[in-house]
Amino acid sequence: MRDYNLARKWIGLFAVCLGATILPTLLSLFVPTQAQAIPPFARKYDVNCMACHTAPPILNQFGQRFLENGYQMPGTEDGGIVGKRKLGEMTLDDVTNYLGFRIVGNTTSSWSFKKQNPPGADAGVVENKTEFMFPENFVLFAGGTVAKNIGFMVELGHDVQAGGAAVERGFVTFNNLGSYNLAHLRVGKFDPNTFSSYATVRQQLLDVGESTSCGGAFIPCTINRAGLTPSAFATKFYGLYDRSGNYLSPYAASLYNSGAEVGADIHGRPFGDWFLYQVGILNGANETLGDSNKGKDVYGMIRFDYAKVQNFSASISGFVYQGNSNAKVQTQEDVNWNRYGVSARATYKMVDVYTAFAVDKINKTPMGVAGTFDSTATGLTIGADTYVTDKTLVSLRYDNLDAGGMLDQRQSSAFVGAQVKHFLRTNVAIFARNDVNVRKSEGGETAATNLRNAFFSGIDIIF
Amino acid sequence: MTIVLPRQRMALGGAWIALVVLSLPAWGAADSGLTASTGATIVGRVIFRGAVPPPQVVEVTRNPETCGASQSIQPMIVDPASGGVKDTVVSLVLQDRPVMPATDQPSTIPTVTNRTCAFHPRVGMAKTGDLLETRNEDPVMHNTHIFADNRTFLNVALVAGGKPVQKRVRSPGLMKLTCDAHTFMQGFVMVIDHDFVAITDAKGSFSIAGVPPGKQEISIWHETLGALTKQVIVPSQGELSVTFQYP
Amino acid sequence: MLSVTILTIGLAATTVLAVKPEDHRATREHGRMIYERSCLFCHGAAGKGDGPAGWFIGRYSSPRPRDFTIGEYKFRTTASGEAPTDQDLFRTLTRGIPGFMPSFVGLSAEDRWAVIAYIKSFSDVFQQEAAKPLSIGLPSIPSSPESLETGGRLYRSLECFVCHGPSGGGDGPLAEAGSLRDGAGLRIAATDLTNRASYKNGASPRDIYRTLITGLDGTPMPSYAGQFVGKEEQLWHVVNYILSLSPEVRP
Repeated sequence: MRDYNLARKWIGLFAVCLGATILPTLLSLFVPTQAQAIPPFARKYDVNCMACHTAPPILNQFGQRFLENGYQMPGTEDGGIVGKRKLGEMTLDDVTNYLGFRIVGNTTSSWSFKKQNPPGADAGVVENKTEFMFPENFVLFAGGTVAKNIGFMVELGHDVQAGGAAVERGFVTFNNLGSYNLAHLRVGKFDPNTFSSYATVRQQLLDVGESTSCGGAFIPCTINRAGLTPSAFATKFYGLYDRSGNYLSPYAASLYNSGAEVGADIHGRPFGDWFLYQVGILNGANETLGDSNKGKDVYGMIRFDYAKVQNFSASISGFVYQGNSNAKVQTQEDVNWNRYGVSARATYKMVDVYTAFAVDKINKTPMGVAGTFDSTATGLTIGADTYVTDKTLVSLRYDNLDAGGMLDQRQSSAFVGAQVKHFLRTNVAIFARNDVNVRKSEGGETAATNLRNAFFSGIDIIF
Repeated sequence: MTIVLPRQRMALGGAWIALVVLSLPAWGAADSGLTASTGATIVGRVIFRGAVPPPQVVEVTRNPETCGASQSIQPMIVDPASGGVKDTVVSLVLQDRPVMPATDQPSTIPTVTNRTCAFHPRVGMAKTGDLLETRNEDPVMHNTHIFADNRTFLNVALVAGGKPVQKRVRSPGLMKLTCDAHTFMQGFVMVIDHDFVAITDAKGSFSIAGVPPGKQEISIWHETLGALTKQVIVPSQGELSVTFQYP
Repeated sequence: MLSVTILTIGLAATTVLAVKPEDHRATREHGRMIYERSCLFCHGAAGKGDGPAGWFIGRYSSPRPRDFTIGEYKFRTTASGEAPTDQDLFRTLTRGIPGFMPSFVGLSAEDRWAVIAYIKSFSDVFQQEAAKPLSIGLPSIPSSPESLETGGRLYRSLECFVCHGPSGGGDGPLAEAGSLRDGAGLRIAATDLTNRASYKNGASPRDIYRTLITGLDGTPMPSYAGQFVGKEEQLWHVVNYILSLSPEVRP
């Protein structure tokens, strides 16, 4: 008798979990924050992934230069030569050299909270439980070169949890304008910080979205369960909205570190390999398509690269991002939301260490929220990867979010994540990961401190 | 190659004789490959009085029917009575490279033989310009792989009953011999670019003849005991006795 | 696709030699500029194979990028232990090494020759008398059942299976035991002969013949030239047998 009831309870829970995962969540969860190792490039150039990647999708120095050169071999302008078939006077691209897809995500999640089902939380969400999940992300992408010094990348993604498909990134590059490595132009929807020392879209520990319950436009969402994302890249503010009144997720990557924004930017290494510059202009954060306020966001970044000998390399970058009416507060007033950050990376043999720190500032707190709004927020992320065997990668990440925004909503958080990823083949991997809340001392009522421990296992397959 | 002295009648007969006498060491050095009857001979011994470690028992990984189930390797062969160390290469360290006649035929071709899955000799010598020969007398295949520093000198397959392989040695230094099929095999060839070299016998004795007089540096090398050097003054004739003792 | 490229390169080889610049300082300087844009991320600023990107290719195992300062090269037409010819280096740079080094066909032929001049300056083995390429015992012998039978017998008597396995799958006893090491002491795998795409020195009959007579310096793969003196054509039977171990590769 008891077993039957238990079975029903488990089935009930499972159904609730399924339902909970399909609930509409925050808009910016649509913004993807994962790039790919690109097997089409491996097919095109007949090399294995590790020629360009340390641990896919993170790039090594050679892959970094390949990306900067618009997907042409570093030092060359081979966009019109490789991967193409000449048929009469027609040049046709070998499609397998351009097309790939990826299935990645957690297959199981196990949550552990300090306080179960606190008041205000959606039923069944804030509970200690283990759930099966479908690998959340399926991405179809195409990238490469169309002609000498003209490259492109298109990513079409489907996030099962968020329940939608979208063109995640799509851009065209014009490379080596003027002279070699002087200026490369990128136009379209792209991730701005891809050339910095630590790129948003290249994480070992995948983004795990927060769980929220939301009301209508310009009404703050209640966060049931904290998200697990790099704090340095995150929005950090509680109480910001986009132009349509959707609550901005404090955990989602944004501004310079956004996974995808629409605009144009230019980068180059005009003085030699040791120095990189980047300047760009965007429609603005949180504009899905088009620019609804005529205000553009601008940014600039510089990066210094050291050492290419004795298996060691290092780089450091700094950026400034100036927003122009790129968010709203609850009273629907515009704010200028800016970010200033540094990132750095060092790689020695098998060990890769990277870090990013960002300070977000809202210029001129609007009158409507004066006194109730903290206009500064910071985030720190430190990560490290190392191969312990030829096929096993261990990764660590520390995130510290010092949140800003509405004083009655903001919740700072700090997590440490550890992951072991085993490569069955270079492009087929399984992983197990555990995240621990290291900010336990504060009261356990807020979502940021209530989540104590999260365990995940998952797969990562890319073709 | 003999030096033909200009037979000139000189005003001072004594000066002519002095000229001949002073040329004799040049004769000795020029006649490379032959034991010169002129010049001094360095004789000596290499001694080690310390504890000799027990032989290393190496597991045979392939072809036990030819190589045995295991092999006992003792690189430090010390004569218990005299303390003499076998297979130590003794050579002069020459500052000025002596003139080597290019057309001189080597009297022997240094050979390394694969026999019973070991290199014979375990420690060999060769001179730059020699043809080094590797051969296989075993009924199994050996893949003789010779390294000079960290660079491959030769990597050849020697089938059972196959032909030996010869290759000219070009630079001095220590060459290490391995077999990729039988990874427990080990050997050495010390390559010297002159003739003043010898290898110690079972009693640790060596003899180098025709040594030019004056200050000379002698260097010895043993596979496990290492290298030692000594400065000596070599007389113009006769014997110089030198003893090396490993600490 | 790659084979089309290789064919084109091969046919153009004679014209390419015509653009080979003189090997003097200006050429090497030009080569250095190209090297620092394209090569040093794997091969290191000092040519020692210690570039920051190079470690991940094999991680704890072979291969690592070539250390040019040693002067030892795998893919040659010259005898075991000899330096490669300039043409050998050009071929490797143009073809790449499948799976490990990309093809640099995107550099002009003149640029490739300049890089080669610079790379040669890292080691003094190239200052010695230039090594002569070994001759390929032409004409080749086409495959036939008799040839395959002879080749199979030779594959066993030459003990190829000890590393490459009885069916060529790279699973011979020495490979399985993990005792194969490259020149740097790293674990190295025997080539999987059932997969032509992974033949680093090329999978054409000539390429395989060449591998057998030169050996791959820095790896356990020896030269078999000494065993076939006077009967070079027998090696074609081995070549045919090796090719029979793998399916045709789709171009």
